[in-house]
Order: sequence, then structure tokens, then C-alpha cells
Amino acid sequence: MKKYLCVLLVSAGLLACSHGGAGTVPRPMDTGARTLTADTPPSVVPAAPSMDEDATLMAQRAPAKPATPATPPAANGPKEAETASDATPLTRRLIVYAAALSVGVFEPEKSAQSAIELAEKLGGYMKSRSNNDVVVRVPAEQFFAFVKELEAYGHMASRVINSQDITSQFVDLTIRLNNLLITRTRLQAILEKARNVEETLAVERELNRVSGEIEQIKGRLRLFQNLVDFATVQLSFFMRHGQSSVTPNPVKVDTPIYWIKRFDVVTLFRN
Amino acid sequence: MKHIIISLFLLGFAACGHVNFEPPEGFIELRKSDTVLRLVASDASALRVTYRENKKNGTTQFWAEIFKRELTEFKGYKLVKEEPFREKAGVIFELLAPFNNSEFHYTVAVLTNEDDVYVIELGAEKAVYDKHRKAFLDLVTTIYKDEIK
Repeated sequence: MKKYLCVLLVSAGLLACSHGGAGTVPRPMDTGARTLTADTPPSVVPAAPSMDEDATLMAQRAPAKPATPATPPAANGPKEAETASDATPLTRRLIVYAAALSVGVFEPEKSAQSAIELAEKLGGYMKSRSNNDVVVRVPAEQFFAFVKELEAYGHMASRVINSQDITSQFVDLTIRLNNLLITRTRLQAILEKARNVEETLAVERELNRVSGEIEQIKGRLRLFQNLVDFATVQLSFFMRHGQSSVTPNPVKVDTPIYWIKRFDVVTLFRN
Repeated sequence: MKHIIISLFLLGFAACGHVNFEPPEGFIELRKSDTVLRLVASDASALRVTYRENKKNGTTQFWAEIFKRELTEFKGYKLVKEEPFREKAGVIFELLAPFNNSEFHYTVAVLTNEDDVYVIELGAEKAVYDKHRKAFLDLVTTIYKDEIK
């Protein structure tokens, strides 16, 4: 019995060492930290094998804003790893930007095409298009410049801009991922020590569940990162009639006599 | 005799509308209701006459101002010319309006008296505008003589 306890204690100690210590912050948090702090030197915070792909992906998508390097936590063990996660140096908020714009132009078809080209020029892409309704994704740092450019297209009939702060959700998920990775490592260690088939199956079942959750969270983190990196802009171009497309009409009180509004070249030729 | 009476009654009923005007030269009557008459030319230029009952204090100046505001400030048309018609009987606005990637001449006359407001519109491409302007002015004059004066 004593021998068994000793072996267990030694294993636990080894396990704790492999996840703690200065410069060996748990991997998922590394990913999160790197994502949020683009300039963190790899030597200070090495990437974990299990998250390498994600780290690369996120590092590529990481915004170009400079950030302070991650401070390496000094403590050991799972408890300390959690503390490290909590202390992630969030140097900027993670904001998801979205806008819905309705623009009156003389040539809706051309304007829709031009908006797509502008989005691509700024590093974005077209998500969908239906006639003159377009959905584009533009890099978050270009979002306001893009909206400003669109204002010059014609008369901005409506403009709705939304922002959602997902920092806390992102951090929560990262912490959960961190904990699950620690759990998985522990389970792998326990699996190696399993003495019979029953124990092996039980541990493997748990391992599968944890691995599934890890993949789910990784997926959500990737989605969050993409939403933060690229703002979504819904554009609707409609035909306007007027003298100039570059001078937006100031907002005024509408004509109080409804039938006067019907007088224009469009209705004159349409009937 | 009975048939004649019925025919006269029907004729009288048909004439009850406010926009019973003969089409000027070059235009045909396309559609007519009690208050709106629509005429078109073979080159797709269009004339439209709209009648509305006037309101108390509805002076020509009032209608001219509200039309000008709507057409220039809201619709964004470029006002080229504004001239009174028969002193205080009405006003004519000549505007430029882009439509279907072309520049159109859009002319609007507003004629009023105590009871009636008539709006006469002409829309034509730049190239054929001058040709139809005379027809437009003839129609405005007819309405003035028949209804406003």
C-alpha cells in the first residue's frame, strides 16, 4: 500500500512539474495570450504541440496592434496554471463589429460591385450577394475607414453600427480549455497506470469526452477570433434620384403633404 | 328619347373628372382618372396632369415653396429655372434630374386658384426636351384658361 502511495505521489509531482514553472505556461493560455498579445516572443511562451495549429492560425489572424508581452507565471501545478490563465495580460478588448448600411445611389449594381472591390482592397472579402444586397467582411482595423468610404457613395439612408465586447467570453473559454487540457494530460497519465480492462475503458471514456470538449472549445475560439478580426458589413444599395451622388441630403422634416412626395421622374415614367 | 337621356347622363358623368384636357401636339392620352391624366409621346417623353382640391390659404406662393422644397432639397433635383406663370396664377420649375444613367429635363408647373391646385409635369431627355416644351406650355395655358382663370 505504502509503495503504491509513493508511486502515486511521485507521478503527481512529475505531472505538476510538466505543467508549471516559469516559462512553461499552460498551452491554451499561451494561445490566448499570443492571440491577444501579438508581439510575445516565442522563446518566452512556447507553443504547445496540441495547439500549434491553432496558435499559428490565430497568430496569423492576430491584429497588428502592438501589445505588451505576456508575463510568465512563476508557480507550479494545476492550481497555478489556473492562476496563470486568470492573469492573462489582456492588452485590448476583443470587440466584434457589425454594421448594416442602406445607401441610395444612382447605379446600385455598380455601387455593389465597387463596395466588394473596396472590401477586397482593404484585405476583406465578400461573404454573400443577392442582387444589390451585399455582405462583406473587412478587417476590423479597416472597419471605420470602410464605412466612411461608403458614405461617399451616395445618400446614406440608414446606418446601424453594433459592437459587442466578447473579451470575457473569450477569456472564460480559454480558461476552460486550459483546464480541460490539464485534465486530459492527467487522464493520459492515469490511463498508463490502469491495471485492468475496466479501468482502461473507464479512463478512455472520460478521455474521449474531454477531448471532444477541447475540440469544441477550440472551434469556438477560432470563430471568436475570426469575428474579432473581421467586421461584418451588410450593405443594401437602392436606386435614388437626385442631382448629385456625392452631396448627401441633410436630414430634414419630411414634407407634410403626402401626395407631393409622389412627384418625381421615376413615378412620371413608371406609370 | 330614353336612350338619348341615358347617353347624355353618361356623357355628363364622364365629364365630371377634373382633368379632361385634349392632348397637346405629339402626345396621346395613355391613362386618365378623375384626378390624374397621363400623356406620352412616341419618344417616351411623358406629361402628367394632377388635380388636387385647394385648402384654405393655399396660395400659389405656398404651393410653389413646398414643391420647390420637395423637389430640390429632398429629391435632390437641380433647379435650372424658376419663373412665375401669369403673375400669381402659378409657377414653373425647370429641373435637371438624372434617371437611368441619363440626364432628364423635368419641368413642373403648379397652377392654383382658391379651389383648385393643378400640377403639370413634363419629363423628357435633354435631346428632345425643347421639342416638347411648347406642347407642355400649351397644356399649361389650356388648364389656366379652362380651370384657373
